[in-house]
Formats: sequence, structure tokens, C-alpha cells
Amino acid sequence: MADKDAVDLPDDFERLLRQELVVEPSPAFAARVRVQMSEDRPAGSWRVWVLSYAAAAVIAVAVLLPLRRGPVTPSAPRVVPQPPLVTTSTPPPVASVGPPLKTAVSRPLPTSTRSAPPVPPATLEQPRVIVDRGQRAALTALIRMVDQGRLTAEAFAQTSPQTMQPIAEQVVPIGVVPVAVSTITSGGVLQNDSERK
Amino acid sequence: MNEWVGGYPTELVTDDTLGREFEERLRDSGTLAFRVAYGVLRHRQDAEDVAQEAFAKAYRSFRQLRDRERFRAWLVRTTWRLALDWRRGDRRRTARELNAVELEPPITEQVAADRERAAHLWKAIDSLPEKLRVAIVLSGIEGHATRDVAALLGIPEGTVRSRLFLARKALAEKLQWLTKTP
Repeated sequence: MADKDAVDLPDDFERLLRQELVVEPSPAFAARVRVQMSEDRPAGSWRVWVLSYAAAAVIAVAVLLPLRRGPVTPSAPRVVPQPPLVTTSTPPPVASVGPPLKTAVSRPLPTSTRSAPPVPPATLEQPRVIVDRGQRAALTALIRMVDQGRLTAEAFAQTSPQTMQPIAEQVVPIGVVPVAVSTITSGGVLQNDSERK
Repeated sequence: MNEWVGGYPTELVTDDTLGREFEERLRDSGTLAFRVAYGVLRHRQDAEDVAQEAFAKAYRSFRQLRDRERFRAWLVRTTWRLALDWRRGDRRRTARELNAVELEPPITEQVAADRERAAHLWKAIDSLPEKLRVAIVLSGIEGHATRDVAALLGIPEGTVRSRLFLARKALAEKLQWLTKTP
């Protein structure tokens, strides 16, 4: 029972309040709650989570699968357009002069045996790494410097690339000293003058 | 399928276990929720609807409410709030009350007098601040001592006593004209 305090609330009102609240729900109340329980699931039910994730996975597969089979549209290119079609991991070759370098870059360079054959962009389904990112940046900077005229042939001549790739149009003429062949005598002589006695 | 609860595998909880526990809470606290809702709405059907909604909410959060005392306290607070919201948004209640008056069978004078006193009492209770109102209603529910009210509201017993004191004082002032004998 509620404690009585020193306040003159009439006893009959206390009794009346208790009487008003002595009410019972109908028998259908508990039944309705049980029906609603059977329709709901408690929070965190593993079945709910499993079904939710399974449904999400099925939807994701259904959405993504046709996209992966479809062609790449020109409006959404996936091929890196800027760098040349060099598919090796070696650094790009160093050009001897400015203008030829520009044309050389614009033309596709012969690829090494390690590279895959170039694929037309329209048929590419996934982005392909053509050159190393750092190499691409360096090549882009190089082209920009040549276009701006900041890079000359003399500057190139002073560079020493780590690797060289034979390129037909960039072959520097090699001065070959003709070999002097002396007349063959009866005793025979060595061709190389330094070995002559 | 079972699943672990808490940081250590101290108990295996299945959906069946939770269902049985909730059924036990329904038997234990169903009448309480109904009476709390009735204390606000004074309409049996509305009180049942509100209490049912409170139990539905409790069922969805039952994993965090498995403790009996915690469940009852949560249920009382939620039922009270839902009943107040129901009352604010219920515009049909006035018409229903009028219809109920019209459909009532003939009653005795004593019954009519009691109903009039009860109406005044509820009107006075409704005019109380909410904290006092909920304390006086919970204390009026049969079997609830001060410590029970304190447990349901999650406040100290001293606070409950203070609120009951203030509520009774306010009700006495509002209802004194009914107690004065000519």
C-alpha cells in the first residue's frame, strides 16, 4: 500500500483512486500480444541477419553480373589515355631531340616480348596498368618540358639513362674505325698492330 | 540454432528461450501495463491498444530487457509515454465518450455519484505536473508501495515520497470543495 503522508487528502479519494485502477484487461489482450509476437522477431535474431545478408548478396550479384559482361562505353573510359602503349615495366626510352621525341611519343612504340598485345580500348573491360605511375608522371613531365622548349638535345645528351631500348629512329650513328688490314706476308702478320712485335 | 551472449559463453540463448521469457513477462506485467495506460486514458480499449503497442516495442528490444525489474520499469515508462501520445492525438475519444454516455444503461444514484467523484478526481490528477501524476497513479495501482514505485520509475524512494506528498497536497486543494459538508 502507498504510504500515508501528513496531507489531508480525503481517504475516500485514496480508496476511489485505487478502485478506479483495479481494472483488468480483457482475455483477448494477451492473445493479441502473442499474435503480434509471432509476427515480429526479437532484435538481433540471427535468422533476420542471415536472411538480410543473403538477400543483399543475391541482389548485388544480380546487379553487378550484367554490368561486368557489358561493353565499356566511350563516355566512361577505363583505359589510361595519356601514356604511350608501352606495356613493359622498363622506363621509357630517352629521346635525343625535342620534336622527334614528341612524335615518338605520339606513335606507338614497339613492345618487348614480355608485353601483351595491345587491345583496342573499346574492347577493354577492366583498366590496365600500362606504365608505372611514377614513370607515367615522369614521361608526362618530360613531354611538357619538350613542348615548352625547356628541354634541348644538349641536355639530353648529358643524361645517362639506366637502360637502353633499341629504337630504330633513335639510333645514334656509331663511328666505327675501319680496321686496317696489313698485307699478308709469307711469314704471316697479326692483324692488330698492337700485337706486332 | 544457439548463439553466445555477452563476452563469455555463460549462457546459451535461443529464440525459444527468449520467447518463453517474454511470455512470462507478459503474464507478470500485462495487467500493470494496462492499468498504467488506463490511468492516462480511462478507456479500456484504448488502454489495451496502448499496452499492446508497448509490449510490441518491448519484444523488439527484449534482449536488452531480460531482467524482470528492468523490463517492468521500461514497460511502465514506455506505456505512460505512449498513452500520453495517444491521448494528445486522439480526437475521436471525445465523440466516443459522448456515445458511451448515450449508450449507458440506467444506473443508480449512488453509482452516478461515484462516477461524478471519480471524474473530478481524474480531472484533478490530469492537471498535475507529469512527474507528480505518474507517481500518484502508480501508487494507486494496488500493491505498489513507495519502493515499488521507485523501482518502476528508476528514482530514489525519497524522491517518490516527495512527489507523492506534493501530489496529494495539490489534489487535496483541488478537491476540497467536494469534501466540504454544507
